[in-house]
Amino acid sequence: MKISLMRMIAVCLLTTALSVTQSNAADRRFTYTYETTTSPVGTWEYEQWMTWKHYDNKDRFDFRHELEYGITDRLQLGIYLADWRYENVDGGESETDYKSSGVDLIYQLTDPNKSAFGSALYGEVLVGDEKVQLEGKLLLQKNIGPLVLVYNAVLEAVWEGESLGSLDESKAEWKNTFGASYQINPNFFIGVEAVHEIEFAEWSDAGDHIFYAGPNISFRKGNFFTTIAGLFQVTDVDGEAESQLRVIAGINF
Amino acid sequence: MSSKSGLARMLLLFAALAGASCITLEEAAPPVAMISSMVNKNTAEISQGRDIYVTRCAKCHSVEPVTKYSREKWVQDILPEMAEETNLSVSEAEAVKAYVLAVLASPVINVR
Repeated sequence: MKISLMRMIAVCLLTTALSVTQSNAADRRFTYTYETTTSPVGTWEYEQWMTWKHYDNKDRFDFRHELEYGITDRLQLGIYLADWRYENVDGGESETDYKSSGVDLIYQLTDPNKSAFGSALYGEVLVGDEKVQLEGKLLLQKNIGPLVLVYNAVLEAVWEGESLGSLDESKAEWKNTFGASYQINPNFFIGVEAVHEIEFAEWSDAGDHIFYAGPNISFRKGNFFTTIAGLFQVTDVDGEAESQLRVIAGINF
Repeated sequence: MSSKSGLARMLLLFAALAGASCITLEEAAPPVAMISSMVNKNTAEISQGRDIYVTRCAKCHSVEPVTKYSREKWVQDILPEMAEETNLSVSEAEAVKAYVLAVLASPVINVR
């Protein structure tokens, strides 16, 4: 599986490398971790997300269509137009589901180039026909020349049910995400990302600690950027994705 | 190569890269007080230009050393393109230009 994932990454990189020679670009060095910098005031950005998770017995593809707007130089609004999922279980069964839509706000507290480290607060609300999700994050960033280090502390609360009127299941998830990215030149970055997560069913029963890590790469030119990360599960928790690949492509306008 | 050893090697590579190419923010974008060509210049405008240079210009990439590029390259290519991408106003773009030209005109702080 790791070989096929690496092949997928190679294909994505090749496609991206070919496309950026003719296009334009923006930010986001990481796919699983947010930076503390926000969109310039008055600018819009469209982002297309795709996350492929490979499980022991199925493959899951999550898609997100997002608009971002710089309200001020420190405050950014994100609008999740639609999150949806395609899942293919080994044996042929597959299904496609709309999951949710929502908004997020990021407020930068300190700029990483004017303070010892950058910091920001992130809040998100997602609402679907079968779930409501709230997420809060503390974002930290340290810039060391061309090297950027980021850390996100994430608390997520999810209520699910058969409909919005009967959300009878709840869970919380605590995540720590890390990233390091090195600027080869202003258009090309390489890095690593890592994700640690633990789930609390009904806010009390702690699940297993799950840890993913892997490389990332980012291109940008003009108004266009693409960032790709492939993560592998370092722990060995049954029922969780063995590996995952996330691609985010964006265009500023 | 296992995932863990691969990650460790990658982190070591990053540490080496960071150490080999580390340039301070003050070297890349000298504070106004360090610019010797500041005499008789509009300090407020140049200070604003430096502030924009290290914040809004660095939203998409690391702070680039001002002296890495020639005056001609800055004026003809980089500044117009970056001003458009970061949605700078005319006065903000002029402030960044004033800061960059002041740094380039300084005989003491050419770091590269």
